[in-house]
Amino acid sequence: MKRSPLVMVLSMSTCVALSACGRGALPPGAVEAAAVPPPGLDTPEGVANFWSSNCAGCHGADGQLGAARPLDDPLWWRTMPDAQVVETVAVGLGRLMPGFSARAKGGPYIAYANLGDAEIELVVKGLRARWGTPGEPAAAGAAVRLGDAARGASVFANACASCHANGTAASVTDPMFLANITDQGLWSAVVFGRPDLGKAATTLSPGEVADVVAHLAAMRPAWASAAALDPAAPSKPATGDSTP
Amino acid sequence: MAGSDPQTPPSRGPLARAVLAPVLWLEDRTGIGAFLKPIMTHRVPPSARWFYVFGSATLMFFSLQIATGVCLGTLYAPSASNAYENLVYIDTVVPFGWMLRAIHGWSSNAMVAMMILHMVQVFLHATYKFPRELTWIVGVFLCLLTLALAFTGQVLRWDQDAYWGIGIGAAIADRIPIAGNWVRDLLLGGPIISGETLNRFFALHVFVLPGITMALVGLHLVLVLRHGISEMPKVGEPVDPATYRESYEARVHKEGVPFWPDAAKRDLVFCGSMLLLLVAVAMWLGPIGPNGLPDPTDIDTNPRPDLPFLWIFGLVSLIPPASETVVMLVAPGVLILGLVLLPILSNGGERAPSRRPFMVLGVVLAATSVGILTWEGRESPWSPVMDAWSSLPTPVDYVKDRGPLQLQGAVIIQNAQCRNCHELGGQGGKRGPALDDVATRLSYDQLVRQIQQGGGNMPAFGKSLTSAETEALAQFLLTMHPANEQPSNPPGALLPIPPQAAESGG
Amino acid sequence: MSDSKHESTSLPQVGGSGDGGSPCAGCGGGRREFMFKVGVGLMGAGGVAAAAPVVSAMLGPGMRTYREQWVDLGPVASYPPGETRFATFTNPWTSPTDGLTDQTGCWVRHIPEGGEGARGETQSLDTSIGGPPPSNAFNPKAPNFQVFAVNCAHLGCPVRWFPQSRLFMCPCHGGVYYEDGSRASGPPPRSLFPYPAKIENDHLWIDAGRLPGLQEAP
Repeated sequence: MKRSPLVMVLSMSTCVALSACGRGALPPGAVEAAAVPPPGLDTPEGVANFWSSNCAGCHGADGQLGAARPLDDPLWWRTMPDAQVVETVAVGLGRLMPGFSARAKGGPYIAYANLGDAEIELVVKGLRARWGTPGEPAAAGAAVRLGDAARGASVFANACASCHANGTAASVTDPMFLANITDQGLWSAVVFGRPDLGKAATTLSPGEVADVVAHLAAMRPAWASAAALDPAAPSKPATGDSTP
Repeated sequence: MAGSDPQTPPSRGPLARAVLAPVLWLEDRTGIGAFLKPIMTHRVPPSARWFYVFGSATLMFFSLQIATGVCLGTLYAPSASNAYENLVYIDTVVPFGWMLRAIHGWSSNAMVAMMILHMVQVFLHATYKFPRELTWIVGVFLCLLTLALAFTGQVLRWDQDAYWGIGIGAAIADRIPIAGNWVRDLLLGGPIISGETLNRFFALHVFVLPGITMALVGLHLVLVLRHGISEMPKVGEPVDPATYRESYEARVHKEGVPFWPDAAKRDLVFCGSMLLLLVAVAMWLGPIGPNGLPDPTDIDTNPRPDLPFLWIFGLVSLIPPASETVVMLVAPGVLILGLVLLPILSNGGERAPSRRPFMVLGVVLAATSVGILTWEGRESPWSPVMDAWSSLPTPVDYVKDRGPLQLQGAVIIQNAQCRNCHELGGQGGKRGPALDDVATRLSYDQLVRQIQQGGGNMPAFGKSLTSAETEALAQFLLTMHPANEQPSNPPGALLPIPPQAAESGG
Repeated sequence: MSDSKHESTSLPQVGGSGDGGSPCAGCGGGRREFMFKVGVGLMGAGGVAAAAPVVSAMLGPGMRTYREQWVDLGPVASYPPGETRFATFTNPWTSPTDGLTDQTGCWVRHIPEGGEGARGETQSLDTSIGGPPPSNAFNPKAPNFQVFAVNCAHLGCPVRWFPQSRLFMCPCHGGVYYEDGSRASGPPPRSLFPYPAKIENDHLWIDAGRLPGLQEAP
């Protein structure tokens, strides 16, 4: 009667000991961890990891339906050359897109302090492979050109005002909206729209786009020029009197 | 338990006699058997049943800590310049080194757990009453030593958690009035956390604390033997210091059973299963840490203490800041003093838990508090989620059907690190309130004021956001209300600042 | 030590050594007492002699004075105006086995000329809030610089700078500070610990060497 529990206990301990030997002298996972380094930025997985920890917050988990511009847009990739995307990621765009490299104006966030242009180039190449079209577009494709503001006003009245009229939630002539957005941002918004939100890209000609951008840029309030769009600026003071 | 065999059976074969002869010789010259026999077979009350196994289990895990600790001592290099690499080496190259570290680490937690169970049992059964006051007091110091061993052991891991954990210890020491600096320098072995800090904690963990612990464990056991193992408390049988000893002796003499093997068999079964369980758990979960190099310049870190100290971590972030120094410095002293004085102040009377409802309530309260604080410390909802702003997408529903200005606001929610402290769609920091229905709570004016001036434990963003950004943010937040619920104070128009007013204002 | 208390086990050897001293200490006169006193004196003298290194090893770190030293943080040009940058330096007090821990981090804030407001969208609104840089009095030789320890004033965890919201956040208990180091929210009892700074030969120097704490930091 004393033997059976003893046998039971001994067999249990034998099981544990055997499984220890089965695991081997090395810890569980050590071999696999050593064999498989974390995916680098030259792999799709590495770029996906970079995206989900650094870009997904504004541009959406899958490159669309985020607060900021969708990047799963083939038209966008067909227009934007790598160098321009790299520069935007590195130093940001206006105050709404932060820079992610050590060159970033205003100083980089500590996690990106060592992120150089070489790494960003790898990321951009990976994103183009994921969402874009092969082959890089000409550098001139995405350059902002300001046309004639007066002509732009009539183009705006004909092509945009029906939806984007002032006083509506969709207004794009709101001085607050214009104060937050750079000319480049305005240009992108007119050219590409938000296809992920059902707001299609424009059908305007490049000249008309330039005119409309000039028209909108001219409406930007004077107090919101360069300084407010500069990410390095610590911005305006906090005072009650600027509040309505 | 090292037992010897002092019995000399009358008839044995020549082989058995040859084996026994040296044993008998050893016994004759040392007298160890004669010394141990009365200890092992001393009479204990028959009611001493499963409740009494936790002390033995604590001792068993302590022995395991010594055994595995000595082995680790043969492998570990107590040097800040290569302790970390050395641990990785033990984990990945030394055969079964990972298992040694895993057992030592998890056995530390198990020892703390068993010690607490033992202490709670003794407290609930009021075993600390006459004549076992000193046994309890020694036990209180053993409890502190166990926790000190756990903390110093965590430091020897010499990873990020260890480095910033000592930083927390140093910051607490620094709050001691007048002597704070001195105490901190003593703790760190210098003006900063450095190589000498690790050496100090190594000496504490390996020589000083185990030495004192072993001495006190010895004293604890001597006292247990001297006063005998207590009986289960019975309602209506209060402890009377005048008569307790005699009646206890009489009862144990009459109905007691020898400790070995009658009572010890339960200890053996329990300790054996716990040991097996621990080895299994250690193998399953593997060694604890090391987590990240102890590089003071790598501040992209999120330091957390080990399990036994998570509740303290939780406590210091939940109490009002003004009371912190008092809670950190005075409360532990008061608590320890209370535990030490407990048997002196109450050394007689009823032992049964049913007659000491406030003591039971105290245990329930303490267990609940520590449990909740540990959970909170694990979750740490007060901590900003450092990468929430760049990694957590805005919920798709909050992006759809928003105007251009509102979408700018949605970007600013991310870009201004709002989500490090505020949840959207159940994701983000929990330090501030979730923003999913903020428009039902704050009007436009209140939103702008809250963003610009902060308040209620929120920083002011007036200096970091332009007025246009504040406006975009407020316009986005105004859309944050359930479809069937109206905003708290709907603005007359969606454009609170008429364009011409803003222009003339500049 | 307390073995003599044993009543259940009687080991005559244990009690033996303790008995020898007590009757002698009580009985007066004679060579035995003299010898005893000499023995005690010798032990005491030897103990005191041996105590010096022991006490020094145990209590020394608390007795020594660690005076801060000026540490070079590199050329001023590496800290652009209007930015807050992370800088590292080797601690002036090191030992051979410090490894990585002889390094220390700090946050360097370069306040643009003319204070914060000059770079904002308007100057006119700024005078009350932007104001003069708060570090002027503290760093007379580097009036446009503030250098903060990474350690949160609450319990010493490393704070991180967020350039967009211009806040320092602590990962441990959620202490938050503004860009000038003043406390914004959370449990910290004070602002970030500043290092005294100066500019010499176009290099930024700070007076550092101690883990900053509530007791001596300015």
